Amino acid sequence: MRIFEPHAHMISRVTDDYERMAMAGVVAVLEPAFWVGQPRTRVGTFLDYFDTLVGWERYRAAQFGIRHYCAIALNPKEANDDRVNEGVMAELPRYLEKDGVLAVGEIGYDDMTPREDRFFGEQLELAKKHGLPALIHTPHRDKKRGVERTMALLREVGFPMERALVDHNNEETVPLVIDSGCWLGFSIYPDTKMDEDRMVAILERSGTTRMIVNSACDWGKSDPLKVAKTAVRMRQRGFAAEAIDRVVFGNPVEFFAQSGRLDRAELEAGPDSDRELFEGNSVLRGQTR
Amino acid sequence: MLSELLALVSARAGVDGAAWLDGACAGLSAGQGALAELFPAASRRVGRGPLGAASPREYWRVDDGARVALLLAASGREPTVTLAAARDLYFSGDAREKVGVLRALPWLDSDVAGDPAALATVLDAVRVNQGEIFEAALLDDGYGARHLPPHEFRKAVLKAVFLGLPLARIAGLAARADAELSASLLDYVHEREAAGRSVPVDLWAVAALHPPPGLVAKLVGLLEHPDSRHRAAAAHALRLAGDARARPFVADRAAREPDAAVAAALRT
Repeated sequence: MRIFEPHAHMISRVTDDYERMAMAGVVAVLEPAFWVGQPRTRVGTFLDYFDTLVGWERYRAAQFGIRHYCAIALNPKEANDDRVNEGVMAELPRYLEKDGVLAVGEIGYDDMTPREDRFFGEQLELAKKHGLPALIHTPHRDKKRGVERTMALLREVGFPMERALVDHNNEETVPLVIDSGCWLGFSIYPDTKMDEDRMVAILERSGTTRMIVNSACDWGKSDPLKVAKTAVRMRQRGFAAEAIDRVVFGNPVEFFAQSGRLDRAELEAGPDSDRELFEGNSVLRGQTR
Repeated sequence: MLSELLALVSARAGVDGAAWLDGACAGLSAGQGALAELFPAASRRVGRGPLGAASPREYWRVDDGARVALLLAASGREPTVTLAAARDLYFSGDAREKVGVLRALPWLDSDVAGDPAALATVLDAVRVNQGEIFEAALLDDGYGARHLPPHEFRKAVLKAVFLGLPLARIAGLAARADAELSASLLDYVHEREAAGRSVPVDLWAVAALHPPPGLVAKLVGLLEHPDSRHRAAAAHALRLAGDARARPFVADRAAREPDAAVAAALRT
């Protein structure tokens, strides 16, 4: 089984998690920029964070044969913080040109404030300008209204629905998002959001088209193996191997390939790690025994 | 250099990639186009496979060639400005971008003493943990091999040993090696031996250029190592050390040496 984990906040995870993910079949992760728990007070902290996403995390993942991609954005929660919001927006364009940045995200609504409206809209425009799809967070509270407002903003901005991945769906939001033409993300969590059984029931009810499953693992109680566990539950419930592959690999690859920066052949060829053979030259790194 | 690179990249980047690079370089040469936007895009425009350049650039990738070409095109107008720009691209770049900047530094900096911006860049690169960045800074015709200040150079060589990199790929190492480096290398050998671990065989030829006390005795001992690679390395290093005290042991081993290559090394 091969897994493209389309939403994992690896900066909050230990290196052992990469190892466990690799053993569970994860060949690629996409790490969206998000709220790191502790509010940031200056733009520089964001830049160091973005540099980590395009630099250090890529290196950390590569050591376990995992390709690391990311999405860059001003997250909805900190869009409300006037100490950083405009300054971060000014720095986004240069990151959105970087290799391995496959989307603008996470953007969307947290509290549905006027500032969130403004920076969500402006970042959708940035995504259009840089030819990137958008990874859209939906609020934990008042989710259904948040999703409706998201759809309304996408239409207002004229953002192509097939280039939007609306995340953290639940039973109530599924019909709404399916009808919109957007892709649907589901975050499988130990306690909150969505669990494996409910997820499989949704897939049985609504099919696998445009359906994407993630662990959204972060600093909270979460589990980087949730995509693999959902795949196991799908198999137990009688889903064919192709359908499972579509949900945990094919769909996220198809969605993020819309960036024009995801080389499928490269992805299927395996890891681009520091340790790989390059022109027949293999160098064992770290201390030799 | 620029036209040579453009030809190499063109041969591997495909029609679209080659046209993109030609256009970007022409624009930069004429003072147009934003280097900061072109530079990160290079990998996805031209690809990341081997460039196919001759030694010492046989490890370059296609995007390395393209990024060096972009910087060379921009430097035609204002070399010093480009070095500062290259430093900024390095510090805001991902790993591929950093490697691209490092590969360009020897071509951009004609100052024998080393431009401050270029030195700041390469000093950062030899301190990182990411292999490809460190290698681009130090190995082959890397800028660091020639321009790192002596103390930083010694530390970088020791790090290369620690990482298990082939020391033969550090250009000009023999000329820059000194007694302090040899002493550090021998300390490293002791640390490895105390831990019961192996010692990289290519270390001896560097340490032997300025042999510290005790080194020749260690090399003589290695002449009896069961692994022929260690014996060959010891024979080679003893020749470099040129210590007459080792001669009877070398002659004795040469008479018994079963490996033809090692025997030849012992007789020279």
